Amino acid sequence: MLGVFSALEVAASGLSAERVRMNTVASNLANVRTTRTPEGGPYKRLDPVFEAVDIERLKGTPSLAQGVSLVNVKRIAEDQRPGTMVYEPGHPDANPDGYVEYPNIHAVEEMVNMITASRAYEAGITSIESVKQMGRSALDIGR
Amino acid sequence: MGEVRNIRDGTVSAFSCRVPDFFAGLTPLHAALDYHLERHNVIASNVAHVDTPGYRPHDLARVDPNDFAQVMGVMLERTAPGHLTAGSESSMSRTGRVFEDPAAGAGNDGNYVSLDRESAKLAANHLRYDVVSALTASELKGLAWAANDGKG
Repeated sequence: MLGVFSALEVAASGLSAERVRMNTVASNLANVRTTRTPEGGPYKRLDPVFEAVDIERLKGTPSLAQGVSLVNVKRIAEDQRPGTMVYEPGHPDANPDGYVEYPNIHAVEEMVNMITASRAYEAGITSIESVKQMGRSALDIGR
Repeated sequence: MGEVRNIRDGTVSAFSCRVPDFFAGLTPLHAALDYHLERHNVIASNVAHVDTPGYRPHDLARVDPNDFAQVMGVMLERTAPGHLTAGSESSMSRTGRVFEDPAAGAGNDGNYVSLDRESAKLAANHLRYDVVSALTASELKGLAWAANDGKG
């Protein structure tokens, strides 16, 4: 049975997913000039992939069939686009032709991602507030 | 117990002193509260999935309790994927019928959730819940008033 708390659970899963997105955006922006990584090569832009999953607690009937599902971060994908090549012969990571490969990160793109993530987060907060107020008005029935 | 003379055939029968069901008025309100709470769950899930690729938003339609087909559609639940579905939709809920509601065009990620639309629905649903809960409170207050012989 779905109730007040499953709505909170669903909204909270959305919030934590958006927070993961926010973290990857922060990581991308911070590493906009990182040319060295443990795996070798420049930093690759990260992008979280979300998926819809059933609420574990409701084993009897699949919650997806009831129109309700949690958000899960399936994986954090690496963007495989090539990086920008900049001619900097003096740079220690320059290739024999004198070009340095900088990460495939575009600040504008990251800013857009950041804004959409924060709007989605706010929407989740609104739905939590709404659930709380509904619970409160349900409690007021007995007064 | 009084007597009533039937005008047509002249027979006399005892009063049928039926006590009205005082709580009958609460039943539809109760159902409405359940429905709006469940719909809130569905809409909250849509809002949470605003960034999930390929997600199609759902909504909950109210079911007319006097319509047999609709009621059966809610009651029959699929327990195995091979079962036939009752009604046109495959997904059922206890208080209503869940249906896919992709209003916005999908972006590159195949996600059909429109945040504006879902927030509007969320706010409207919340308001309706508040209205129904206020009605329920006043119905109960009325019953309490009657139970106290109209003394508060």
